[in-house]
Amino acid sequence: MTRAATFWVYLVFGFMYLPIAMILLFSVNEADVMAFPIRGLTSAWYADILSDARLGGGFLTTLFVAFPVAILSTLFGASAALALVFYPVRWRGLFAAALLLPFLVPRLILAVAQLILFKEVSVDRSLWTVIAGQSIIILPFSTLIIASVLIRLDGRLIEAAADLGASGWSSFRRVVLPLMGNGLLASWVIAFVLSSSEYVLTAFLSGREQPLSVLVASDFRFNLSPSLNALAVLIVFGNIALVVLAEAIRRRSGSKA
Amino acid sequence: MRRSILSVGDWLALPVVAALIALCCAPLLILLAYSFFQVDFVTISHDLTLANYAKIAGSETHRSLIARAFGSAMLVVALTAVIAYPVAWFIAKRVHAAKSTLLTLLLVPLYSGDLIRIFAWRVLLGAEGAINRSLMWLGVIDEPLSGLLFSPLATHIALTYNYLPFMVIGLWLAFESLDDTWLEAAADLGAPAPARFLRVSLPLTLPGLVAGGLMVFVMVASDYLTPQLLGGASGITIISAINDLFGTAFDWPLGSAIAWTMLSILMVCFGLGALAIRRSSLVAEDV
Amino acid sequence: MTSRSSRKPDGGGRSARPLLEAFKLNKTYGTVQAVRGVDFALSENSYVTLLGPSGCGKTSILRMIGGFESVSSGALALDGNRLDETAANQRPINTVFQNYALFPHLSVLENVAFGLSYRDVAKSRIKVLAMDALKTVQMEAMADRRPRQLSGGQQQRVALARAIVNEPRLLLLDEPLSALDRRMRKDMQIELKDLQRRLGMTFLHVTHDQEEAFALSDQIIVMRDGLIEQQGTPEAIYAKPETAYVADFIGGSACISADVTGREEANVVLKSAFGTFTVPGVPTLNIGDKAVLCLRPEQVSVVQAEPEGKAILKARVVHQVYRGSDWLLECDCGDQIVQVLHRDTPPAVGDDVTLAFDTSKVWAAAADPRAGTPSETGAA
Repeated sequence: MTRAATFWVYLVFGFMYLPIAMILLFSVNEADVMAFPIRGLTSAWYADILSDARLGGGFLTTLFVAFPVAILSTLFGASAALALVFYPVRWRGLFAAALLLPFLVPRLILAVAQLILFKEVSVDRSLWTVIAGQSIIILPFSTLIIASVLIRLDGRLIEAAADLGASGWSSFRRVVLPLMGNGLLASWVIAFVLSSSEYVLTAFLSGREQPLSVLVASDFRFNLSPSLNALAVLIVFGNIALVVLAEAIRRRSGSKA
Repeated sequence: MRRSILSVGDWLALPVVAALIALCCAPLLILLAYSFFQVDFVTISHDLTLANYAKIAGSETHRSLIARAFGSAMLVVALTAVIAYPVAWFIAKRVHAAKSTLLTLLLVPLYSGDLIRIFAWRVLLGAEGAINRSLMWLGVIDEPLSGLLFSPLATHIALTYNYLPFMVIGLWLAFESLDDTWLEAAADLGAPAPARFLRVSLPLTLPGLVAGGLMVFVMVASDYLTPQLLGGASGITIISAINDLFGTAFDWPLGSAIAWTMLSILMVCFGLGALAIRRSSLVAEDV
Repeated sequence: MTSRSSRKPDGGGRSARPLLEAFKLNKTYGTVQAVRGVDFALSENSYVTLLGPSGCGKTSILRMIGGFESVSSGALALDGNRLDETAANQRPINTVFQNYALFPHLSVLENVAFGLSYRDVAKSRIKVLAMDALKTVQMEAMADRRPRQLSGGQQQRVALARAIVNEPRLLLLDEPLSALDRRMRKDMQIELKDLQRRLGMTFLHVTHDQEEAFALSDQIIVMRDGLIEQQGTPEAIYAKPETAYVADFIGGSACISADVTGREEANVVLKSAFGTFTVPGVPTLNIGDKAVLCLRPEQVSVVQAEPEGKAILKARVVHQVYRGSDWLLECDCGDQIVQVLHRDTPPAVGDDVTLAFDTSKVWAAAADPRAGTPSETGAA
């Protein structure tokens, strides 16, 4: 049974990486059509992408959005996780359910709802509305990541600190904060990645200045070219590098706890 | 020391709740209000009416689109469950050191973003795509299979691909808390392997199946990009209908009403699922 | 190890074939050898305990018999038929698990009926048989409850009923009483023994508690480091320990190191730092062997005058424990602590005392460590 399952697991992981392998392959394929057999190796598609000023601008816009989003959602996620795990909060179940809400509401529905809200209060669409909207949909993920680090800490640590005479604030600063540091870092990285790859909400809430994901989307729809493979590969591997970094950080905190 | 009415936890939760209300609850409530308005040529009249909901209930198109969204969601839940069960079992019970590496590897493709994954499937499934060209190259087929891309098949392959990791995570958590001695006891009492799965593993991992299933269900029902970009003519979904009503069709009230119809159904599904998890985890509580 | 398949598991020509036999049974986990080539046999209708500290391999043996672990080498036979290649669900053996492993999603009755559905039992009979089994353990009133609604002792009974309802040839019990409190444990010991007699089934019970082993067993197998130290009746294990380890583990003998300098029929002559004693001992002890003189607390007494025909030790009291009916004194004889049971007002800590014991009542066992045993493991 184990052998059959091992084979199945290989198959499933193969399935998960097949699309990524494919775009990687075609991103270095010389031919204009994305089809087998492979003609020859080239880096021309990468050169195309890297010299594209429009995409370069989009990339900078993405960074401009992702940094504050990652900070905001991590900050709010940390508050929420602390309230859920360490510090008793009123109506805990309701609070937890509310935190899930942005994850459960269909992205497009939330996007149009926010669009209406911003219109009602006369806020024009801009990168600031994108930042606000993205922060709220990434909040559940940040909370989960930080809570998963906190949950592994022993709740008695706070009691022990109090027992040793630390006040609430100093027990937080000297005991909890150092131990959750890696969780914050991991949350920041994941939030950054999620923000940079978010499309639906971003497309609805962004105004004139458009982040990379929105630019890429219009290319996907209207202008399918092999250079998009190169772009996708750059995005995927950039994200993978960040995620692996975050996971390494999170796991290091796990082994210490 | 000053005693405050709010605890530390409450103070921590307060800004989070404020943000959730401002950016999630308030927009949805305004959307709810809009669902009772009506379009009067190019302006929106603020007289309250149930006409939009009546229109949805009376429209064959809307009803079938909603039914199809949930049908698709159920299908993908079933597919991901069948694929994920052995994987979750394997990661929980047969892997020790590599456990978190495997889980990370499973999640990594998720972070590439919806569009890139969809793009990759287009490359794979297209008439000139990798699968067709490979099959022709190998001589299995003479001309490209046209049904691969822009079809419900393509949509459901990509949807399964997109949301499989969530099902694996749900089931993996359930398998982690499944005590092996229950399976040993079942074997001890004479149950062969298939019976051990059906009578012990399945009921005891049910909370994970429901949790993973709920996530997949909600996400498939809300995904409109995948059907739109891969489904071709079959790509119109209830969510993309909402998109159209807010865009080109400019009927925000009807769009809002459809949105709230979907939200209500999803909430009911979610409530039922949460109830099911609660009941079954009451059973499995004391391990 | 290569001779595995060629060995015929036939009880070596004995007249009554044992129920279960183990031949050179081995279990290795990676580089750790948990069970190192043990042989033993269990007879019909007996209560046998595998006794030893945690990590001695007793649970591995039980799990191999149950079919939850593969046999690394060696063989198991049940009723003369090869057992170790049969899947767990095909073995006529049932187990009471340490944590009971009751299915939390099934009622008590459904738990007990679980095994019957895989046996040749008519559907209509299943409920009747399951209720009968519940009656046997006085749990019929709880038939509709869920396991989590039961106390530890009640869960224990249901686990028993779930196992015995299948009428196994052999019932395995894996530390079944360890989760119960002391009082409940005593009651369950009596019930288990009683149940085994009534059913006429063979019970193989794993425990680290020697008191429990003595209360229950017809036979005790004392294990240590993956090897069987001694197998015998509780009386034999207690009165005639074969090794210093058994003497120490069972009943806490003081073991005085000695050399065997002579044999006089059943007795051996021991030369120790405290003198030379002629005492009964293990028959296999030969002149020149290292041995130990085993002194149990109840075999030693504090005396005022030196009595006739008894051996004498000079000692100092270093510790005393009041135990209700008596005192346990720890006396230092010089590099050797001897425990003494004392009924009357004891001497004070620090007093010099004279200890006496009857040389015909004490026992000489082989000294540790045993020589040469590990090399036997791989031999065919």
